[in-house]
Amino acid sequence: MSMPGDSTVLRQTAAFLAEYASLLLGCGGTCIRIEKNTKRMAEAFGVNLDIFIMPDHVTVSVWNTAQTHAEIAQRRTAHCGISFDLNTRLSQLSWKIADNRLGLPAAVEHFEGIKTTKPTGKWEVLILTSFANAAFCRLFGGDWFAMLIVFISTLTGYRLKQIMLEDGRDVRLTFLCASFFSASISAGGHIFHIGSTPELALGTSVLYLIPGVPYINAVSDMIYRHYLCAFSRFFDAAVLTACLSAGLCAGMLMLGLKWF
Amino acid sequence: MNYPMITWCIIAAVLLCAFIFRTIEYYTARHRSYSCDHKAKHLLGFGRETDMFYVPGDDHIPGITNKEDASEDQ
Repeated sequence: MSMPGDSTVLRQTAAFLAEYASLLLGCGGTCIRIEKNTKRMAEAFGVNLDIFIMPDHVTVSVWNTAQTHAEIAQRRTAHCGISFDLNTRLSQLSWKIADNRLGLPAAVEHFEGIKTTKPTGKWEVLILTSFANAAFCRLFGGDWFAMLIVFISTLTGYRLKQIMLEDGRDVRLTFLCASFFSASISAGGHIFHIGSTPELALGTSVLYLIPGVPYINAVSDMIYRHYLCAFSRFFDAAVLTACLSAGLCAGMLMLGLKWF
Repeated sequence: MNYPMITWCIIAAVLLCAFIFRTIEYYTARHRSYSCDHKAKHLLGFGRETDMFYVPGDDHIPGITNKEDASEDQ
């Protein structure tokens, strides 16, 4: 019977925890969440754990309880896109392992099941994002015409973003193009004198592109002193924000809207 | 129509054309994949200039080893 201190078991445990951490990092988990979840599972497996999280890699070292033997596993961060569903399922798995004392084979089986989780359908996301952005416009005081304009501009801009990302285009170019077209389409309210709040329609038409999750995660990482990850996330988000601002300004300049 | 209106119409038309091209491309690719097992081809694509301007018989293609010379050395 294999014991937690066995070299093979340690190696398999390290590999599983590294895979888990890389997927959780890739789907938008904060560093503190990754640390807590992996340590919780390591305790359930009866091993000691050290984890080293970098923006693009995760390194996990697993020790036996006597601290005489260690195995190290390193994995590249999974590029699966931010997914709250995946994030939740992975956290639930860590609790399931800790509460029910699941063994490594059962944990791996559950994990493989989670890895096959399908992302939310692109058409649902497209429609819901458009509605959400139109609701944002209402929150800022926009009228019904402005909401309709924001809905249409978000629909077209977000679809363009989906198409460009599907084709493997650079994410910064994608953000620039999406914000340019969204801003230009929403400027139609001002150009054709539709509604009483066209400036709100223009201002809120690009809000769906703000990378909110990386900004929030950057703050969380900074609080828990994961400075490298925090700066990496912050600058990634800042570059995307700069691209969307450039697209918005380009749209306004092309349409001759000199509001600033 | 004034300048901003014309610009807006051009931008909207470009975006509409992009969506229409994408739809045509999608249905063409799906039709091809149903009718035969060939890999779906893109209507528009990016390539290197050597892909476009190389004519069989040209002496040298940048970035590609001359296989004839390599086999002669052996």
